[in-house]
Amino acid sequence: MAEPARVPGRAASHARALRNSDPGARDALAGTLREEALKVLAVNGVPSSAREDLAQAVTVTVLARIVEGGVAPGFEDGYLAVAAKNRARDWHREASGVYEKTETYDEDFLLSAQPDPYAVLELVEDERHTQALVEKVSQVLKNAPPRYRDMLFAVYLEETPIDTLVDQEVLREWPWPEDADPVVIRRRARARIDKVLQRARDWVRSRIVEARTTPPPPMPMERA
Amino acid sequence: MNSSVVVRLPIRHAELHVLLDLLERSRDAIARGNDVMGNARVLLTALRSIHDELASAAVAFADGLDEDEDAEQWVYFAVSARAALDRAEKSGARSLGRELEMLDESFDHLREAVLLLEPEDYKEALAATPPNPDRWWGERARLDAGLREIDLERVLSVL
Repeated sequence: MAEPARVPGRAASHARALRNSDPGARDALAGTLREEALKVLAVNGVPSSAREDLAQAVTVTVLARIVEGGVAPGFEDGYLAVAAKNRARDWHREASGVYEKTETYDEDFLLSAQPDPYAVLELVEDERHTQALVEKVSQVLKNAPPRYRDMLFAVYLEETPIDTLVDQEVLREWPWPEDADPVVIRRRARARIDKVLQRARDWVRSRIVEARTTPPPPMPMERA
Repeated sequence: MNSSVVVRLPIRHAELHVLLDLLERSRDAIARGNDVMGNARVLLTALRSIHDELASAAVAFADGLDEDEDAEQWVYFAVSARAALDRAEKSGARSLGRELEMLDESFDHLREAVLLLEPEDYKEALAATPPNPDRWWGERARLDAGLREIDLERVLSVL
């Protein structure tokens, strides 16, 4: 059975004009939405003292949705009616106290001077872990090859800038060959510093990460 | 340095370049599914032949010494070939499984050689093959899983 032809409402007509770039369509649409919202709110029992503000809020929301293309063309009036009706229902619930907050956990949590107990536990655990790691690293550094230890001390403990280390590395190559390019010499020096630093960190990590445990070989049945 | 070593170094240097060419061709063939088993066997044999080079690289890393001139390239070849063999095993050369296990076991004490490669070179050598952290060629992956660099740097900064 064919559906009866739907007559577009006033809001739909203004919305179409808005899509066709009619300069006055936006104000006309807003006015229509507001009027319709006031009617729906009145029909749904919202007192006149509250109606204006609610109608304004519904108008702004629905107008924004229409402008951003969030409402299917031709359905603007229906969308407004549903939005206004929902707003009226919410108003009644709030007025009756149904929406009165009985739990204020979120706000209490935000205002509390005490951190979340689980966060405290995690923090303590993190600190304990870091402290254990600091002790292990200190111990491992004592036995590191001098080349690695010196580099890690210079960069992390003495906080020597990498550029300074590169300068020192460049000077070690002095005197340069006559045809040497200083830029190339510096680039190579930087690469050497980066490489030693990377190896030094890897060396420490390899001494801290627990010794690998070789998994048992597969059973003969599994291999087959 | 005795005379036999002096002669051996240029020969090994030339062999390295032959092996790197071989690696490229075998890897491509395995990726295309051409004679997967044959190419895998070639790589396996080549890998077995570079035990000494990997041993020198592992010692250089462990003791913080200057490595041999070609050390990084030997390690690159080793990781890359092993990763290609992993792909070959999963692409039909399953019968190599036991031989690969034996190779991995015999190379296990050389795992630190892998750390001579910088992370980006290691990644390139793997050519997108997921490394096995339980095996020598996954040593960098094992370290990354055990203690991230950023965490070590944090600790070093508070020492």
